[in-house]
Amino acid sequence: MLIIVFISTALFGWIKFNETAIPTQQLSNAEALNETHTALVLKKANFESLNEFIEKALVIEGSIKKIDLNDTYNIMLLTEDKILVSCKFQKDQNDILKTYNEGDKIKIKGIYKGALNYLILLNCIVENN
Amino acid sequence: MRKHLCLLLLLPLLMGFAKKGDKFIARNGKVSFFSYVSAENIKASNNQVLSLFEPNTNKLAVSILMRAFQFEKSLMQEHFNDSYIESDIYPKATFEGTVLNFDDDFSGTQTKIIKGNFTLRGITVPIKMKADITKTYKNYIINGETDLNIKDFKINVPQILANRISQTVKVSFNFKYDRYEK
Repeated sequence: MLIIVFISTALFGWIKFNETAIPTQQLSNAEALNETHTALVLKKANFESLNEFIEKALVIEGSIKKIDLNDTYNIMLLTEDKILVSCKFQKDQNDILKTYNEGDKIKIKGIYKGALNYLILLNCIVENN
Repeated sequence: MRKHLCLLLLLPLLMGFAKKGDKFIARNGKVSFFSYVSAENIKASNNQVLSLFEPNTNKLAVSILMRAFQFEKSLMQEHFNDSYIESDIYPKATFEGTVLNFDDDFSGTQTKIIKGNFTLRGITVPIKMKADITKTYKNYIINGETDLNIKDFKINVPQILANRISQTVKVSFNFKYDRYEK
Protein backbone atom coordinates (compact mmCIF):
# COMPACT_ATOMS: atom_id res chain seq x y z
CA MET A 1 0.00 0.00 0.00
CA LEU A 2 2.75 2.43 1.03
CA ILE A 3 4.67 1.63 -2.14
CA ILE A 4 1.63 2.47 -4.27
CA VAL A 5 1.20 5.81 -2.46
CA PHE A 6 4.89 6.58 -2.90
CA ILE A 7 4.91 5.74 -6.61
CA SER A 8 1.70 7.75 -7.19
CA THR A 9 3.14 10.77 -5.40
CA ALA A 10 6.40 10.54 -7.32
CA LEU A 11 4.54 10.19 -10.62
CA PHE A 12 2.29 13.15 -9.81
CA GLY A 13 5.33 15.23 -8.88
CA TRP A 14 7.11 14.31 -12.12
CA ILE A 15 4.05 15.18 -14.23
CA LYS A 16 3.54 18.47 -12.37
CA PHE A 17 7.22 19.40 -12.74
CA ASN A 18 7.21 18.79 -16.48
CA GLU A 19 3.90 20.50 -17.19
CA THR A 20 3.92 23.14 -19.91
CA ALA A 21 1.55 26.09 -20.19
CA ILE A 22 -2.09 25.23 -20.91
CA PRO A 23 -2.92 26.20 -24.52
CA THR A 24 -5.12 29.31 -24.58
CA GLN A 25 -7.72 27.45 -26.68
CA GLN A 26 -8.50 25.37 -23.58
CA LEU A 27 -9.29 28.39 -21.43
CA SER A 28 -13.03 28.84 -21.46
CA ASN A 29 -13.31 32.10 -19.48
CA ALA A 30 -12.01 35.29 -20.99
CA GLU A 31 -12.56 38.92 -20.09
CA ALA A 32 -12.89 41.88 -22.40
CA LEU A 33 -11.87 45.40 -21.47
CA ASN A 34 -14.94 47.51 -20.83
CA GLU A 35 -15.35 51.27 -21.19
CA THR A 36 -14.50 51.90 -17.52
CA HIS A 37 -11.18 50.10 -17.86
CA THR A 38 -10.15 51.84 -21.06
CA ALA A 39 -11.22 55.24 -19.70
CA LEU A 40 -9.12 54.72 -16.57
CA VAL A 41 -6.13 53.61 -18.63
CA LEU A 42 -6.34 56.56 -21.01
CA LYS A 43 -7.12 59.14 -18.32
CA LYS A 44 -4.42 58.12 -15.87
CA ALA A 45 -1.99 57.02 -18.58
CA ASN A 46 -1.08 54.03 -16.45
CA PHE A 47 -2.22 50.48 -16.51
CA GLU A 48 -2.60 49.67 -12.82
CA SER A 49 -6.37 49.65 -13.21
CA LEU A 50 -5.92 46.45 -15.24
CA ASN A 51 -4.00 44.58 -12.53
CA GLU A 52 -7.09 42.48 -11.75
CA PHE A 53 -6.62 40.82 -15.15
CA ILE A 54 -3.01 39.71 -14.65
CA GLU A 55 -2.61 36.01 -15.50
CA LYS A 56 -6.17 35.94 -16.86
CA ALA A 57 -7.34 35.52 -20.44
CA LEU A 58 -8.27 38.77 -22.19
CA VAL A 59 -10.02 39.21 -25.52
CA ILE A 60 -8.91 42.31 -27.42
CA GLU A 61 -9.75 43.69 -30.84
CA GLY A 62 -7.73 46.15 -32.82
CA SER A 63 -5.88 46.92 -36.01
CA ILE A 64 -2.44 45.51 -36.68
CA LYS A 65 0.38 48.05 -36.47
CA LYS A 66 3.33 45.70 -36.75
CA ILE A 67 3.92 42.01 -37.41
CA ASP A 68 7.13 40.22 -36.46
CA LEU A 69 7.93 36.56 -37.02
CA ASN A 70 10.70 34.88 -35.09
CA ASP A 71 9.73 31.21 -34.67
CA THR A 72 6.33 32.52 -33.47
CA TYR A 73 4.42 35.65 -34.39
CA ASN A 74 4.39 38.83 -32.34
CA ILE A 75 1.84 41.48 -33.26
CA MET A 76 1.48 45.06 -32.07
CA LEU A 77 -2.12 46.16 -32.39
CA LEU A 78 -3.94 49.39 -31.66
CA THR A 79 -7.43 49.24 -30.17
CA GLU A 80 -10.18 51.66 -31.17
CA ASP A 81 -9.51 53.49 -27.89
CA LYS A 82 -5.88 53.96 -28.98
CA ILE A 83 -4.40 51.50 -26.50
CA LEU A 84 -1.29 49.74 -27.83
CA VAL A 85 -1.16 46.00 -27.24
CA SER A 86 1.66 43.53 -27.85
CA CYS A 87 0.68 39.87 -28.35
CA LYS A 88 3.05 36.95 -28.58
CA PHE A 89 1.22 34.11 -30.27
CA GLN A 90 1.33 30.37 -29.72
CA LYS A 91 3.25 28.45 -32.36
CA ASP A 92 0.09 26.69 -33.55
CA GLN A 93 -1.20 30.07 -34.78
CA ASN A 94 1.59 30.53 -37.37
CA ASP A 95 -0.43 29.26 -40.33
CA ILE A 96 -3.44 31.43 -39.43
CA LEU A 97 -1.33 34.57 -38.99
CA LYS A 98 0.39 34.19 -42.36
CA THR A 99 -2.79 35.60 -43.92
CA TYR A 100 -2.76 38.82 -41.86
CA ASN A 101 -1.12 42.11 -42.85
CA GLU A 102 -0.46 45.49 -41.24
CA GLY A 103 -3.68 47.49 -41.11
CA ASP A 104 -5.93 44.40 -40.85
CA LYS A 105 -8.42 44.15 -38.01
CA ILE A 106 -7.88 41.23 -35.66
CA LYS A 107 -9.49 39.79 -32.54
CA ILE A 108 -7.18 37.94 -30.18
CA LYS A 109 -7.31 36.08 -26.91
CA GLY A 110 -4.22 35.91 -24.74
CA ILE A 111 -2.96 35.80 -21.15
CA TYR A 112 -2.49 39.30 -19.78
CA LYS A 113 0.89 39.68 -18.07
CA GLY A 114 0.97 43.39 -17.32
CA ALA A 115 2.07 46.52 -19.12
CA LEU A 116 5.03 48.73 -19.91
CA ASN A 117 3.75 51.58 -22.09
CA TYR A 118 1.55 49.03 -23.88
CA LEU A 119 -0.37 45.97 -22.72
CA ILE A 120 1.48 42.68 -22.94
CA LEU A 121 -0.27 39.40 -23.68
CA LEU A 122 1.36 36.00 -24.16
CA ASN A 123 0.13 32.66 -25.50
CA CYS A 124 -2.18 34.54 -27.85
CA ILE A 125 -4.56 32.93 -30.34
CA VAL A 126 -6.66 34.42 -33.08
CA GLU A 127 -10.22 34.52 -31.82
CA ASN A 128 -12.89 33.78 -34.38
CA ASN A 129 -15.96 36.04 -34.29
CA MET B 1 19.50 66.12 -64.70
CA ARG B 2 21.25 62.88 -63.70
CA LYS B 3 23.70 64.87 -61.55
CA HIS B 4 20.81 66.54 -59.70
CA LEU B 5 19.07 63.22 -59.15
CA CYS B 6 22.24 61.64 -57.69
CA LEU B 7 22.68 64.57 -55.33
CA LEU B 8 19.08 64.29 -54.19
CA LEU B 9 19.51 60.58 -53.44
CA LEU B 10 22.74 61.17 -51.53
CA LEU B 11 21.33 64.01 -49.44
CA PRO B 12 19.96 61.83 -46.55
CA LEU B 13 23.35 60.12 -46.24
CA LEU B 14 25.23 63.41 -46.26
CA MET B 15 22.96 64.86 -43.58
CA GLY B 16 23.09 61.75 -41.40
CA PHE B 17 19.73 60.12 -40.81
CA ALA B 18 19.56 60.79 -37.08
CA LYS B 19 18.68 64.40 -36.39
CA LYS B 20 19.73 65.96 -33.09
CA GLY B 21 17.39 64.86 -30.27
CA ASP B 22 16.10 61.77 -32.11
CA LYS B 23 15.03 58.90 -29.92
CA PHE B 24 14.85 55.30 -31.01
CA ILE B 25 12.54 52.69 -29.51
CA ALA B 26 12.50 48.91 -29.32
CA ARG B 27 9.18 47.47 -28.14
CA ASN B 28 9.86 43.79 -28.64
CA GLY B 29 13.42 43.62 -27.42
CA LYS B 30 14.62 40.23 -26.23
CA VAL B 31 16.24 39.44 -22.91
CA SER B 32 17.14 35.86 -22.01
CA PHE B 33 18.80 34.37 -18.99
CA PHE B 34 20.53 31.09 -18.47
CA SER B 35 21.40 29.30 -15.26
CA TYR B 36 23.72 26.36 -15.59
CA VAL B 37 24.42 23.78 -12.90
CA SER B 38 25.23 20.11 -13.29
CA ALA B 39 21.79 19.12 -11.92
CA GLU B 40 19.76 21.28 -14.29
CA ASN B 41 19.86 24.06 -16.88
CA ILE B 42 17.25 26.76 -16.57
CA LYS B 43 16.54 28.99 -19.51
CA ALA B 44 13.92 31.71 -19.98
CA SER B 45 13.32 34.49 -22.44
CA ASN B 46 11.25 37.59 -22.71
CA ASN B 47 10.70 39.32 -26.03
CA GLN B 48 8.41 42.02 -24.77
CA VAL B 49 11.18 44.26 -23.50
CA LEU B 50 10.95 48.02 -23.99
CA SER B 51 14.04 50.10 -24.61
CA LEU B 52 14.83 53.66 -25.60
CA PHE B 53 18.12 54.77 -27.13
CA GLU B 54 19.27 58.34 -27.75
CA PRO B 55 22.30 58.24 -30.07
CA ASN B 56 23.18 61.91 -29.61
CA THR B 57 23.47 61.58 -25.80
CA ASN B 58 24.38 57.84 -25.78
CA LYS B 59 21.70 57.28 -23.15
CA LEU B 60 19.98 53.92 -22.97
CA ALA B 61 16.97 52.85 -20.90
CA VAL B 62 15.38 49.42 -20.61
CA SER B 63 12.18 48.27 -18.92
CA ILE B 64 11.43 44.56 -18.44
CA LEU B 65 8.09 43.13 -17.34
CA MET B 66 9.13 40.13 -15.23
CA ARG B 67 5.92 38.14 -15.82
CA ALA B 68 6.69 38.14 -19.53
CA PHE B 69 9.59 35.70 -19.09
CA GLN B 70 8.62 32.35 -20.56
CA PHE B 71 10.02 29.04 -19.33
CA GLU B 72 9.70 25.60 -20.86
CA LYS B 73 8.04 24.30 -17.69
CA SER B 74 5.12 26.21 -16.20
CA LEU B 75 6.06 25.23 -12.63
CA MET B 76 9.42 26.97 -13.04
CA GLN B 77 7.62 30.04 -14.35
CA GLU B 78 5.34 29.97 -11.31
CA HIS B 79 8.25 29.66 -8.85
CA PHE B 80 10.16 32.39 -10.67
CA ASN B 81 7.27 34.87 -10.33
CA ASP B 82 5.84 33.83 -6.96
CA SER B 83 8.96 32.95 -4.95
CA TYR B 84 12.14 34.32 -6.52
CA ILE B 85 11.20 37.63 -8.13
CA GLU B 86 7.88 38.20 -6.25
CA SER B 87 6.49 39.77 -9.41
CA ASP B 88 3.35 41.02 -7.65
CA ILE B 89 5.52 43.32 -5.53
CA TYR B 90 8.28 43.98 -8.07
CA PRO B 91 6.64 43.70 -11.51
CA LYS B 92 9.46 45.33 -13.48
CA ALA B 93 13.22 45.39 -13.78
CA THR B 94 14.85 48.50 -15.24
CA PHE B 95 18.18 49.63 -16.56
CA GLU B 96 19.40 53.18 -17.12
CA GLY B 97 22.81 53.84 -18.50
CA THR B 98 25.12 55.17 -21.15
CA VAL B 99 26.98 53.68 -24.06
CA LEU B 100 30.60 54.74 -23.52
CA ASN B 101 32.47 56.34 -26.43
CA PHE B 102 29.80 55.60 -29.00
CA ASP B 103 30.52 57.14 -32.41
CA ASP B 104 27.20 57.88 -34.11
CA ASP B 105 28.95 58.98 -37.31
CA PHE B 106 30.18 55.44 -37.89
CA SER B 107 27.85 53.15 -39.88
CA GLY B 108 28.37 49.50 -39.08
CA THR B 109 29.08 47.58 -35.89
CA GLN B 110 30.99 48.92 -32.90
CA THR B 111 31.78 46.98 -29.74
CA LYS B 112 31.33 49.24 -26.74
CA ILE B 113 30.82 49.14 -22.99
CA ILE B 114 27.42 50.07 -21.59
CA LYS B 115 27.55 51.30 -18.03
CA GLY B 116 24.61 52.00 -15.78
CA ASN B 117 22.28 50.96 -12.98
CA PHE B 118 20.16 47.84 -13.04
CA THR B 119 17.19 47.64 -10.67
CA LEU B 120 15.52 44.37 -9.77
CA ARG B 121 13.30 43.68 -6.75
CA GLY B 122 13.75 47.30 -5.70
CA ILE B 123 17.54 46.87 -5.44
CA THR B 124 19.81 48.94 -7.70
CA VAL B 125 23.21 47.61 -8.66
CA PRO B 126 25.77 49.29 -10.95
CA ILE B 127 26.69 47.08 -13.91
CA LYS B 128 28.91 47.19 -16.98
CA MET B 129 28.36 45.09 -20.06
CA LYS B 130 29.93 44.64 -23.46
CA ALA B 131 27.63 45.14 -26.42
CA ASP B 132 27.73 45.26 -30.20
CA ILE B 133 25.95 48.30 -31.57
CA THR B 134 25.07 48.22 -35.25
CA LYS B 135 23.88 51.30 -37.07
CA THR B 136 22.02 50.60 -40.29
CA TYR B 137 20.40 53.02 -42.70
CA LYS B 138 17.22 53.32 -40.69
CA ASN B 139 17.72 51.73 -37.28
CA TYR B 140 20.06 50.52 -34.55
CA ILE B 141 20.61 47.04 -33.20
CA ILE B 142 22.19 46.47 -29.79
CA ASN B 143 23.08 43.03 -28.52
CA GLY B 144 25.31 41.77 -25.77
CA GLU B 145 25.46 39.86 -22.54
CA THR B 146 26.43 40.13 -18.91
CA ASP B 147 26.49 38.05 -15.73
CA LEU B 148 24.32 38.85 -12.73
CA ASN B 149 24.70 37.48 -9.18
CA ILE B 150 21.35 36.53 -7.73
CA LYS B 151 22.60 37.32 -4.20
CA ASP B 152 23.00 41.01 -5.18
CA PHE B 153 19.21 41.18 -5.53
CA LYS B 154 18.42 39.21 -2.35
CA ILE B 155 16.82 36.41 -4.32
CA ASN B 156 16.31 33.65 -1.77
CA VAL B 157 16.71 30.16 -3.10
CA PRO B 158 15.44 27.45 -0.72
CA GLN B 159 18.22 25.15 0.45
CA ILE B 160 16.54 22.16 -1.17
CA LEU B 161 16.82 23.84 -4.57
CA ALA B 162 20.27 25.39 -4.05
CA ASN B 163 21.98 22.84 -6.31
CA ARG B 164 19.47 23.49 -9.12
CA ILE B 165 20.05 27.22 -9.53
CA SER B 166 23.35 28.88 -10.30
CA GLN B 167 24.49 31.83 -8.16
CA THR B 168 25.54 33.59 -11.36
CA VAL B 169 23.08 33.88 -14.19
CA LYS B 170 24.10 34.75 -17.76
CA VAL B 171 21.85 37.42 -19.25
CA SER B 172 21.82 38.19 -22.96
CA PHE B 173 19.92 40.91 -24.77
CA ASN B 174 19.02 41.90 -28.32
CA PHE B 175 17.20 45.13 -29.17
CA LYS B 176 16.24 46.37 -32.60
CA TYR B 177 15.38 50.07 -32.51
CA ASP B 178 13.21 52.09 -34.85
CA ARG B 179 12.75 55.82 -34.80
CA TYR B 180 10.38 56.83 -32.00
CA GLU B 181 7.28 58.43 -33.45
CA LYS B 182 4.76 59.65 -30.86
